[in-house]
Amino acid sequence: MAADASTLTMRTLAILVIATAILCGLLLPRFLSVYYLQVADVTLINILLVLGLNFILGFGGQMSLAQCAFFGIGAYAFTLLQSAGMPVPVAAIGAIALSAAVGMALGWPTLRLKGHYLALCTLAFALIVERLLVNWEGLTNGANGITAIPGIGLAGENDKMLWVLLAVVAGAYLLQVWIANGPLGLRIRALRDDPLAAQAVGVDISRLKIMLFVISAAYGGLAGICYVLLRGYISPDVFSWQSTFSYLAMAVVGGLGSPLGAVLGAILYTFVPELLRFMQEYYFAVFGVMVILVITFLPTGLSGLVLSAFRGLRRREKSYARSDVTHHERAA
Amino acid sequence: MNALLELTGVTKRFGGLTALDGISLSVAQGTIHAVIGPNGSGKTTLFNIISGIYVPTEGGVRFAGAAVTSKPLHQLAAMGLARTFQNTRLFASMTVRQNVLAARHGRSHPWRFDQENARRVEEIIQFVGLADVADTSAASLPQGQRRLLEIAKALALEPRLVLLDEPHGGLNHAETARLIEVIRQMHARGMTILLIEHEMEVVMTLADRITVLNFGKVLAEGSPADIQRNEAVIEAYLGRADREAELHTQVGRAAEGTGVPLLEVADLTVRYGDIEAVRKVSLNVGTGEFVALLGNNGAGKSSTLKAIARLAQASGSVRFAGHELTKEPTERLVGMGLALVPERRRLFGGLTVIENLKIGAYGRPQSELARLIEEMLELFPNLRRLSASLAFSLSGGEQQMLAIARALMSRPRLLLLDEPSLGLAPLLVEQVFSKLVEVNRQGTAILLVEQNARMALSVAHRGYVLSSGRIVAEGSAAEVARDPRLMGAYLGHGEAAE
Repeated sequence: MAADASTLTMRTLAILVIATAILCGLLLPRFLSVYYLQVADVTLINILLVLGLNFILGFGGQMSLAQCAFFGIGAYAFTLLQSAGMPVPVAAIGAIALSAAVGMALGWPTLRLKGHYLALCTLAFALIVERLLVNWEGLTNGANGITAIPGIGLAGENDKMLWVLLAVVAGAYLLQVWIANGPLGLRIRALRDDPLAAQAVGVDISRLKIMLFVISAAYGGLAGICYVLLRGYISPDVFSWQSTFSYLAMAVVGGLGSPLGAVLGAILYTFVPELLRFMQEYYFAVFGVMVILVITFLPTGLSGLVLSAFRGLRRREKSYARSDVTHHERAA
Repeated sequence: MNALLELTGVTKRFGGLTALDGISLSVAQGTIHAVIGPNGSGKTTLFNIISGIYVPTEGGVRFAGAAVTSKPLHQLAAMGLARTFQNTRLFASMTVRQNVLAARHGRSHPWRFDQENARRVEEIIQFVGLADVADTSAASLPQGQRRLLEIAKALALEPRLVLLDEPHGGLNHAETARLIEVIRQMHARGMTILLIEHEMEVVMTLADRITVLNFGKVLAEGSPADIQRNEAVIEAYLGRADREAELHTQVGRAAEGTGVPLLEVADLTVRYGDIEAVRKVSLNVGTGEFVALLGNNGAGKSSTLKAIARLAQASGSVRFAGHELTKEPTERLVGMGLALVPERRRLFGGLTVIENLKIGAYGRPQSELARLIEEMLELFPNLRRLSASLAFSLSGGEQQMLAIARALMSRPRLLLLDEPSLGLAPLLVEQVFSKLVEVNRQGTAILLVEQNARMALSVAHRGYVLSSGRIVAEGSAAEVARDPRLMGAYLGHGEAAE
């Protein structure tokens, strides 16, 4: 997970990420139609969701299929809190806090579960949340969803929302890298490498796992809020349990546990298909093949490929430099 | 004496199996205390209880004056009780330095890497002598350095008590010497050390006090010199001399065989990563012969057997009835007449006795099946009564009989047995051995891997003694039984491994 950072300092990375975000904000509206701009916005929301999934799945090695549920909880909680008259920041904090709290409530009882059992349990949770959104009509207006949500008044304004989303994603990205590279990240890696050895050096792995669930859920909730702000309406089908597998696919193809991987995976799954529309539904067949290939041949995902190429380049520069030195020494 | 760690009446049961039975043990502040005992005597279970992985069924553990009986692992670590694992458990995705850093999280700033902590990490890496490889990936270290890093991780906790679980397993001489030096220095810095170890030379060199476990009980406790002289300890490792004589008069010695070579092993070498578990071992078993392969735990006995049965990768030559086995796929071996009774029996617990036997006859014509089963039930009358019972419900001795019967169902010319006496009471061991002699007299050659040396040598025709992966003695069973190198392989020579 520290792959992104082992080569760069946090400061350089922050400058790089912010510069990329600004560049995207300036360039994308020039080249993309209104429709494609919206696709770009949705891509950013997906990046946020996959970044969230990264914490629990990529860092913690815990197979959670509940990301779509936190996405939904964040979106509905924000909408309902706003309609109850709360100002946007309060509603947003409330929605994220609720997602995180539900994440903790899911993380606690499932601590003892592993592998398939945890996956099934979290999937069941996603199903329950979706059913609640459909059937609790008094609160959610059922399958019809909720329309005309005020948000921050930017619903449908894809160009302005692009800036908002770029800022949120850049912040979320940098937070993830910062956590991954700090002492906490080391603890998380210890947990993933060998839980028993982690305990033996004093890591409270139960607390750590719950924490990962909580951060993961909070990212999901934040993505839900972003979705409301972008669209101005929500309905349960957006948060269907099936969609959780898309996020999983994005995370795997991009590279589990890599923030850069989350970005690459989401772009490949969300944005590229729109560019390759002539391929129609075949694109996802191609994507399916890609998932299989990545799992088989590239366990570190596309980000692993990109980063090792990058590192290889730097190493070659260094070795050139070194061979120069020896050359001079020999001459002297 | 000032006890840092104190166990009183610790008992651990797993279902019906009593792994530890009323263990009381006191480790004095500032000592190096070793726990030894034959395979399956409960040493690792004891460590798992002390370090908080298991909760004892009965009894209590006190550490540094506080009751810690059901405290989880990570809390004990924070209290200054560190442990290493027999199969080193490193953080494989990290460098050496990061491994130590990760182990110091309880003593470092929660959000950023502070200078003071970084300095301590460097000190620890220096101390164990890994400074040269500090930025190397932990996964790529050779075995000796892996052990040192495992210790460095424990030291990162700044512990008062360090539990070392077989730190010398699989190390060569230079690596062993280095590790002994590190342990001595830890001791010199005031750490108390509790050590499980199979290399007796290491134990005798290092330990101030030794506790011997056998069948989950404390068999003896004392200084290294006491323990080396203790008759009960020698018996626990080598078997009892009088029992041996008794068994010998009861069943006599096994067949010599026809002298025609059946199994010829030459220059067999088995490596696990960079551990050489078996080093150029050569041995022979004649047609119908009963041969014992002896040695202490970790000597390479099981690895040799697994390599012969092609369950472990090996170099060298294994010829069976004139065929080179190393070129045959594993599943063909049974058809060629080679059957293995693995260590810990590996029965199909959810199947009945009869079903287990049927699986053993896999590949044999259906028409023979009923006759074969009848034959086995005649040879092992106990199994007839139990024929419809599920295998897991059988007692240890019955399970061992079933495992042997299952292997015999394929009508092997050579039966390979891995520690059939493991975990069995002496009387049951005798029963198993006399059955083996009976099987052998019916014409099946046997290669027996066994810790219980005296018992094995009382019935076998010839014997080999393995130590640290090499054959150190061989000859007729009577010759080997008298060979001082046999005792040496089990209990060390009492010489310092300098």
